[in-house]
Amino acid sequence: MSALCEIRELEVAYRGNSVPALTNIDLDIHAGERLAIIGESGSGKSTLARTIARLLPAGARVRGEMRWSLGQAPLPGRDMGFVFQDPAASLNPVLTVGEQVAEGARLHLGLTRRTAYERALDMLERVRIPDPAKVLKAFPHQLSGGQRQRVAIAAALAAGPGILIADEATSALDMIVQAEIVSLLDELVREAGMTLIFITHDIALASGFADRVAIFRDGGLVEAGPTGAILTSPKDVYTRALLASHRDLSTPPLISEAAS
Amino acid sequence: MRRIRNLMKTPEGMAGFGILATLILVALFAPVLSPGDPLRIAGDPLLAPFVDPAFPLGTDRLGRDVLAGIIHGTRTSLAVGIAAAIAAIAIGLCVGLAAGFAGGLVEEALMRVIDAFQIVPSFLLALAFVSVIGASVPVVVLAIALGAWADPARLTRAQVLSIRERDYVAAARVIGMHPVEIAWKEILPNALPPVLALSAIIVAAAILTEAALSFLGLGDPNIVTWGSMIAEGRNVLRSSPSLSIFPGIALVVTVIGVYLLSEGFGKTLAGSEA
Amino acid sequence: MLLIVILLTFLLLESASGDAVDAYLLSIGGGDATVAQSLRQAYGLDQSVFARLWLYVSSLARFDLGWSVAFDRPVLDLIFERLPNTLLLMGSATALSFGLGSALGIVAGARPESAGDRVLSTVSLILYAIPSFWLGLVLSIVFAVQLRWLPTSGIETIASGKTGLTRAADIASHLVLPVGALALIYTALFLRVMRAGMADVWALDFVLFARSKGLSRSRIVLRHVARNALLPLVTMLGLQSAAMLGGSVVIESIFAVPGFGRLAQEAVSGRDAPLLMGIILVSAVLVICINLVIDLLYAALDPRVGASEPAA
Repeated sequence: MSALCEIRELEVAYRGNSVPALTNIDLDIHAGERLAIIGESGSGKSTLARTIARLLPAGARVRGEMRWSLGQAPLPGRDMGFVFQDPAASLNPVLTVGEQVAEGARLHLGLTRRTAYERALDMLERVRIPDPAKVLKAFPHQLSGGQRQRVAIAAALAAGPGILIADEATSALDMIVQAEIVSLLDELVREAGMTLIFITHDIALASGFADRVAIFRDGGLVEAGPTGAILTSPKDVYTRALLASHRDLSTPPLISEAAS
Repeated sequence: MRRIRNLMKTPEGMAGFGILATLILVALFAPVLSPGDPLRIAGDPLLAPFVDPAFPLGTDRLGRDVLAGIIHGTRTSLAVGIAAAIAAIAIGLCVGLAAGFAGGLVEEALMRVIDAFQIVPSFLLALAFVSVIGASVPVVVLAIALGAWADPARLTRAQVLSIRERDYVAAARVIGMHPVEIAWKEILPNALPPVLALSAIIVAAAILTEAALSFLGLGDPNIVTWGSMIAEGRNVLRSSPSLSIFPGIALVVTVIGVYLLSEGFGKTLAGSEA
Repeated sequence: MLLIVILLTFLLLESASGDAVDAYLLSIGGGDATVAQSLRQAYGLDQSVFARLWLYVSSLARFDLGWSVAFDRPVLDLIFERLPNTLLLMGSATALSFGLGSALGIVAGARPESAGDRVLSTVSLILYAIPSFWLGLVLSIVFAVQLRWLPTSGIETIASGKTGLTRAADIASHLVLPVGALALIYTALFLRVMRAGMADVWALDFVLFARSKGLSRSRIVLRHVARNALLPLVTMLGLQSAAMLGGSVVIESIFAVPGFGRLAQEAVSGRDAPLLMGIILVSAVLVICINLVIDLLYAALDPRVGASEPAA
């Protein structure tokens, strides 16, 4: 597989913080792969996601290189979609679902208002929301948590980006909904041949469908490699400890989570 | 003390503190800075400002020293503003505590009273109150407080309602503390800070209301106030606008000082939480 | 709520030192005790407190606010005569300050902590500290006395015989200064509220989500940030309506606008307690009405208001 993006010696520090949130990161992202970035809170995994998507707050300092195979960095929205952790917070409460799904498509695909809404309806069907025509006119507070996250995914994918970054996109949801969203993401990415960067603290969840995993800790990359190799023969002590906390990896994520 | 030091670190806090400290000193030492009755006739009438060194800001129609009036007016403005704010917060705290603690019908009744005071324009209420009772400093203070207590009362009640449910209050109840004691020892100290944060705004509003009242001739006639000076200057607005302008500037500077101080406090509070 | 206001005004009426009859007799140069007695009887001032309260409430229920002693006319007529001018003044000032304040607030809040934001925040702080009556005086010194651009007082040129559009233009020119004096201060307030609201909204996740969609900055600022920050501003508009009504008293007295506020001042100087209490009652009703309108506006702006529970 060719490298979509080569990250070299990346260092990121937030304003007013002398300790960098990420240091010395070397990581390749392959085109069309499903890459899981795994780490506990504070490991720097979300910072990496936001650095890739260029969503860092003002004043953040970025050093090192991110070489994109396309020559230029992907444009947020058009080439890259982003799904956040909490769907209740990531949707604008006073705008309709339709407008929020359509606005990206309208801008990046140059659609008219009408065709953008048709596209939005289509996207809502693809994320399998029941009664999409009604949801199009609804406001976020009228939907359940799982439905909101489906809307957020539809909005992130509305312009047909090649890369999808999901930052803890299932952590705020309950177990059953979580499993549904993961399988939806898996399916959408497979259909469109997208690159998925899946950020999570849940190694069992990630191991279920990721091609490769990268383990982060305290702002550094511990190790990265094909999912099978890392899981069966972890090189680092930390990875082993992380795996040990999920004793039986053959059990489906749902059960292992409930047992822990 | 630590809070004051933090406050001085913000530019707003420092500027506000500086302005208000100066004004308080001026108010305290007014008899020293400008001896004698500021309402006495001191020189020729309508002297222009910046001409006679004895009257740097000139004199009014009756030959009263404008600078002396402004210096002594500081006393009235600050005293009335602060006293009215204290009265308003005291009333607000009592009513808010009572409403939040009593619950039931009493709370319902008190809340309706608070509503009623919020829908009546407080300036009109003060105006009516002073004109009905008669103008004197205590009446003005009470009139301003009457229109300003509803906000702190509402806030106090909201605080009490949220604090009442917390564990340490439940613990106090379990060990058999008397409700009044719980209210006094456990709830009041915790409900107080956000209400006090409101106090700067209330002081500023009180100073402005006092000025507006005395501008309309409803201040204590025996005391010099900035509002009455502005009103007095208004009679000769075309020929000597400075008579109205100088006390107005004093008023604006005072209120800015209060706002800056409250912004500084806001920043230090936000900073300590972050 | 309104009943409590009624009770309040009644108590104020009761505590008046010397009643309206005294004031009236004083104004006509004194009178003997029998005249006073018959006048008191005519106005029902000689009965017990409760009887008078009942009389007061029951006459209010018939929309009878009493008789103005100073003007020798029904209070309600006087108020309705003056109210349009005040509503015109307040309405224009509200529209101007809300529009200008929210627009400038968007400019300041679009880039928090930028140079433009700092300038606007500082200017608004100073403006907000200015008492409206003093600003009114300064404005009239500058524009009416020095520059002679605008009239200093009144609502229209008296006995000018103007009609239609020329009359409207005449009224508008009279309104510029009072509206300006009242509106500038509220512009500063609304600017500050809008700016603070936007600063809060910037920190929310959906703004980050909007950025991740690659939307233009102006769309993010207007459609996502400002749209949400408008909600606290509308709430503030309702809360300030009572204060604005109070502020118009002083402004009207400076510019001699024959409105509601000026009527209040005339009632004070004429010791006309029934008129004053009528004014307070009507202004309370007015504030309630304004807040009803604001509630409707808020519900139209915020889809969450009055919404049912989540569908699933």
